[in-house]
Amino acid sequence: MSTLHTINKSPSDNTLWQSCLAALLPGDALLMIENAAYAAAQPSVMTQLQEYDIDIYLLSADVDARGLSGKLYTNANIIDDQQFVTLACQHTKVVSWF
Amino acid sequence: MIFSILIYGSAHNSQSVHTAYRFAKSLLAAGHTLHRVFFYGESVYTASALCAPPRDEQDIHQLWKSLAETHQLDLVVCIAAALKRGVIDQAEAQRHEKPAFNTHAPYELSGLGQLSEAAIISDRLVTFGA
Repeated sequence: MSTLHTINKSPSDNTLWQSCLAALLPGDALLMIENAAYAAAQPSVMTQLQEYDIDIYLLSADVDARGLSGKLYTNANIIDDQQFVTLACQHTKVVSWF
Repeated sequence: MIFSILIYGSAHNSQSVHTAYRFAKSLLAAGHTLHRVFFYGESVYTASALCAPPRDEQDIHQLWKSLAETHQLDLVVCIAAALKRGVIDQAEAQRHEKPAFNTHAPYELSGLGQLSEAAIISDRLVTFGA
């Protein structure tokens, strides 16, 4: 009964990120889409996420569109759209934070 | 697995209609079923056939239309969100005595009942927010 969370805003949207983090449970996955990809270039955010027992993902299209490759901290997995579909199947529900 | 997609984001000021499109294409390519796409809020502008984006930008209206025609998708546009934004089909234009209409099949104006039904039928309802 795990959940795939998607979030689409950069960490400057502090209220949204706090709500999302409060909802994470061990075994969940967090997919940072669209402007949330910027989070993976911020050490403070990625360090905070290490405290949660979750897998962290980014979409390669979002990373490329923002010129973030080479600037990422390593605890995020970069996946393609097909793997996004696979994640949605592997988790029993998808919760979107926006 | 049966999917449905709910989109809130603007067709022009956010990425969500595009992210949702890529997700839809990928799930269909993987052999899953896409039961319904529900356009809500600002995303209803996707349904306007009169949008004429510059040639170096993606025509998201046309992309969804082509995908829907290829895979017989159900593209439902929230009727209340659409009418107040001037996204209107022929039947509603007549009913509201408007001089023109700007959306037609495969986009279909309908109500929130279609979203509830999609949530019940589908194994996964994936939301792409504003």
